[in-house]
Amino acid sequence: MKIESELMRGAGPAAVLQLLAGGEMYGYQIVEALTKRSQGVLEMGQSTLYPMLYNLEAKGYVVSENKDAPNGRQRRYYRLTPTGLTRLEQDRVQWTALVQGLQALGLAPSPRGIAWA
Amino acid sequence: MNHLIVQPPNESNPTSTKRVWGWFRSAMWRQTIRESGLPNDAQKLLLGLVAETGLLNDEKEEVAAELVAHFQDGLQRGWDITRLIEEFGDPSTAATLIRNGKQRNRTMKNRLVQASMWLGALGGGGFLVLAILFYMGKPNPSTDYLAILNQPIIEVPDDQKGWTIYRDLWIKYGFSEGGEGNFPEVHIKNGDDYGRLVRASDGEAWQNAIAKLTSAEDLLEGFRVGGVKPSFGVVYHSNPANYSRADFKALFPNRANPTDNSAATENDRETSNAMMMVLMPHVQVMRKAARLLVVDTRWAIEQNDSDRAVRNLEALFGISGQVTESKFLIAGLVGLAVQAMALDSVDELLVSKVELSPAQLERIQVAIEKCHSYEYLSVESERAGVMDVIQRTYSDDGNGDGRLTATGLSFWNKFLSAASVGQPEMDAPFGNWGTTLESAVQTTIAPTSLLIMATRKQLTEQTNKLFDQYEQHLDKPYFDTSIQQLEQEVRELGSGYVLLKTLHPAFQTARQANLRIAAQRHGAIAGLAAIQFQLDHGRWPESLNDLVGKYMQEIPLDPIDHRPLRYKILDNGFIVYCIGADQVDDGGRWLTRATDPAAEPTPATAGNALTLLEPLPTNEYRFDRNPTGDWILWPRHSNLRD
Repeated sequence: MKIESELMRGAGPAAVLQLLAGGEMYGYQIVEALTKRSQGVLEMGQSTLYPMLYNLEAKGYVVSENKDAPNGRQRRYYRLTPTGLTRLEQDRVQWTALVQGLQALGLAPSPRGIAWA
Repeated sequence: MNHLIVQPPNESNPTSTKRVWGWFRSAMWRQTIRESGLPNDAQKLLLGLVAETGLLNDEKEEVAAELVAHFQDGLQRGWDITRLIEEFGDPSTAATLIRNGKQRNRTMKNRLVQASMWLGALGGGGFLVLAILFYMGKPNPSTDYLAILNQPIIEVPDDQKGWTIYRDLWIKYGFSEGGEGNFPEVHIKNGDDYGRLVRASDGEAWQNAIAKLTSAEDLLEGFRVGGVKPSFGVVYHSNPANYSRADFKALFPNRANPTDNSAATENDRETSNAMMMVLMPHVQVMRKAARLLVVDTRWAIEQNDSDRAVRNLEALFGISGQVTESKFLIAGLVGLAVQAMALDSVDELLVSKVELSPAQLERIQVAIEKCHSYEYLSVESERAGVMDVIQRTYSDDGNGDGRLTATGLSFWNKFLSAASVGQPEMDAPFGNWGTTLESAVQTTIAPTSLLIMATRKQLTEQTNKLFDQYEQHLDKPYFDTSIQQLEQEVRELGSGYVLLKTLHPAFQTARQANLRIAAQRHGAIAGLAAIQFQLDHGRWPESLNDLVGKYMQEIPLDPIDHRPLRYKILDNGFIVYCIGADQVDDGGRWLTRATDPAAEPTPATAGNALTLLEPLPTNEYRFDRNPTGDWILWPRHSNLRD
């Protein structure tokens, strides 16, 4: 199942920050990880990932750097900044509150929660 | 195979080098995609997408490299290129989002670069438009102002023109050119200054002057006969080559022929028929003629020749009007100067021992009363001249509007360069194009003048407004400050009106000159009437009211406050005066000279006024010396009685 774009607009950046909290990643790697770890729920159009990364970089949440990959090609790697980490903590609090609210309304019946890390 | 590493020459930092390299190689990002090894469909997608972002070249290079890596990673994972393209999403949407993201992420340097590019593009585009408008526009002069000026002169019969008589005499004496050198004997020079005209009390100098005048009796008689003609009669041209051969020979005796004189070579096609370039060589020459007549009048007084003296006066007043025929203010000012000489001569004659008949007094009075301020202060030709410059400088849209043109600016500079010969302060405001038109800098910046210069319509309206207001105010009393305010308004006009600011006449100077001479003229009218009254009644009139009717139509106005002139009977005479520039009636007290403020004024009320009053040169009636006292208008030359 895919999330509608309106919902993804809020969830996508938080999800990307969450992924980068585990270490630096390059674009395609992020696409793959989002799809795999969210079991397809947070799969996004690949063309929207890169603008999202640029926006996060503009806000100072991530920084990027060109590096030689093990296969010899160059890739642009993104990693979380301290500002991005703070933003991620705030997102966690908000998303937790949102999920709890939805559960209270019966929109999220299972209290299993989201595996953040 | 490494598709992404760019190899600019001799650089150790690939990232920075790529950026620098990108300034010069706008196609580098395309090279990155084409050498990526991706299938054609993917390359096509990326080429279109990256181009559509509209980002700076080094930003495109970053995006291209990252997206190439994205597809290469996908292929490396074993995905089919078709599916990768499909999952990538809409490239146009991606281009828009990427552009927005990258722009938000843009460095200060890149922001400045982009701003500079926009400004450069806007400036370049704007300049291109201006340059096209400026260099493509052509003036289309449609009104021949010179022909309009000349038409009434041409229509005057030859026997009514002074020029018909003057011309041959000027040729005979070479009277037009040579300055004062032609008749230096009539001057008592003060160093290099003009000095003053010779008087009977000047001994040998006087005798030399008499001898010279005797040798030129036919010239003087020509001025007496021609001076009373209603028209001067010379046709105006702005190019000497356009004069008839006889006129040219009379006006320019020191030049070989009309085609090899310096003026003709300076006046090229654009300026040769311009109203503002009109030549008036005869105007100053007639001032010289007036000086001869003034000295001859002194001689006539010495000879007790009243008839010649009166004829000289009639000629002087006639000449003062003749020189204003061009309706240029500068000519009017010369006319006023000649009129002042004529009025001084009237004064000299009437306080002399020469007995004048009532008929002769009346002839003098008639000659004076023919002079009117409006003729001397006309700016009709100045207005036409400005309009002519406008039509030669601006394009014409057929509805009274237009814009400055390159041709017009060139004309304007040539005009000012020609007009400023001998007048260094009149530098052409746009530089001397006559010698530096080829200058690339001038040629390049000239179109930007469109940004500041008034349009044709604005300039025309402002010109008409200015001249209309001047004509409404020129004859107002001295205390009225309308003209000063008008000149202040002109000074405050923006630089877009530089043409009008440069060309408009000196209104206030002209008005003050007129006030001085009008006061003198009004005083002479009243003085003459009082003398005629005395001849009839054996006494002086009690007031000027006694003269109204038989001796003058009305009491002349004091030009300072526009009230009737002041009159005062003394023990042995009378004075007519106006209150002067201090605007205070001091009871006929002589001016305290500004050069000696502590000096006591000469009492005009004791003894014989005609001998007590000191002569006051005309230029003592100036407005900028702030003297106290009154202007004694009649009599003015009492000490000339020997």
